[in-house]
Amino acid sequence: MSKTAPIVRRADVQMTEVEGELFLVNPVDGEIFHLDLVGSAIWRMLETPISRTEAVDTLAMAFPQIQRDQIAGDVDQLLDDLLAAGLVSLRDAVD
Amino acid sequence: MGVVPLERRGSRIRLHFCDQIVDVTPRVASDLADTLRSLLPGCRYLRADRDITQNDAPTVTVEVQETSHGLLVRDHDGQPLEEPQEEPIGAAFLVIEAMMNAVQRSAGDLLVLHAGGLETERGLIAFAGATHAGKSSLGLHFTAQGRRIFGDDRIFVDIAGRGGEPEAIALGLAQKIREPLPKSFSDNIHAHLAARSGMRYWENHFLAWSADGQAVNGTRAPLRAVLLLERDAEAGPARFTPLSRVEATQALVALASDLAGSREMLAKIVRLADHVPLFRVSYTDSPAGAEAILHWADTP
Repeated sequence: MSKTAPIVRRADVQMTEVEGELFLVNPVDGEIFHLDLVGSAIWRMLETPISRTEAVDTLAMAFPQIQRDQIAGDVDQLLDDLLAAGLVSLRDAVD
Repeated sequence: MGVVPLERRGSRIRLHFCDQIVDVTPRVASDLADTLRSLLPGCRYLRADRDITQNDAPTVTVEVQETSHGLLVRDHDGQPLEEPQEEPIGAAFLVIEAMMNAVQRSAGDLLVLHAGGLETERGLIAFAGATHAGKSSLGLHFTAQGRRIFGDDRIFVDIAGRGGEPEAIALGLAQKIREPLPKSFSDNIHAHLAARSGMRYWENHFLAWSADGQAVNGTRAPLRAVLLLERDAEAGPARFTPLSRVEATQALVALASDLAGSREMLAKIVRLADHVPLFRVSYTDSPAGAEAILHWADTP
């Protein structure tokens, strides 16, 4: 995955918040996804398209007690899942 | 011997299903009609053509079409449900699914849960889980002890209910159990099953209807709790663990039948999780689970 390409949330995904965690409904097939607190934070960050690197930087500042490598791995996993589900897309890569 | 008029072939089926009048059309072979009655005995069927013609028009129509590959079931909108079924039991299950779809679409606050329901003095306790979670075994233990259940596999939940609180609605489906029964089941359970023996299909044994043990289709009761079944031979004494709202929502998403579109379904699930407590119940086997659930359910 490109580290600098902006990640864009699908606009018509329905979100429901329960105790700070998000449940997303894919408008294409109705499938429901649950995001834990960190995943929900990343989804909210994507309200304005940001790159994978920017997402990792922001989370690393917010959670200095967590190793950056671990954060990067979690972000990659989540973004892979969101891309596979069609809930986000990559805008034109610049790298 | 002469030509049998088409309208005399097979049976005409009209039944009442959750406040709807359902016609299964056209006339269907008697083995399908008999199978449907065995799988869904807790409904009111109209008995004769004379009775049917004197009643109102159907509000739901399910079509069963004979094809060279088997029986093709179409829902109320005319859409085929799965492939043609070679055996009547497959078609009968699809007819029931079509009716559930139609009823759920007609009433916006309904949700189908993979759950049975135990009637108590304070309302209904749903016992929920995926296929093979142990719902049918628990249901058998409950009815063997003289308790009434709202089925052992699926219930409707009316999120708003008639009084503003969630209500469970019985569907009138037959109880069923897989055979052979586990060795842990007592003689009393074996006797109970023998007394209510009904249709068999492979390892599945569908019990004959019990007016005392099962609530008929459309019966309502306040939904007091949902128990998420977790059978574990190493569990030790039965435990009831309350779920957080997030855990409850996750569990209900997995338990709900997606019949009316997930956008609406998620909203209903969140409302249900807000109003009804969910517990994860860990137990070693069905006899122990049934005893623990009855004790828990009957304790104020």
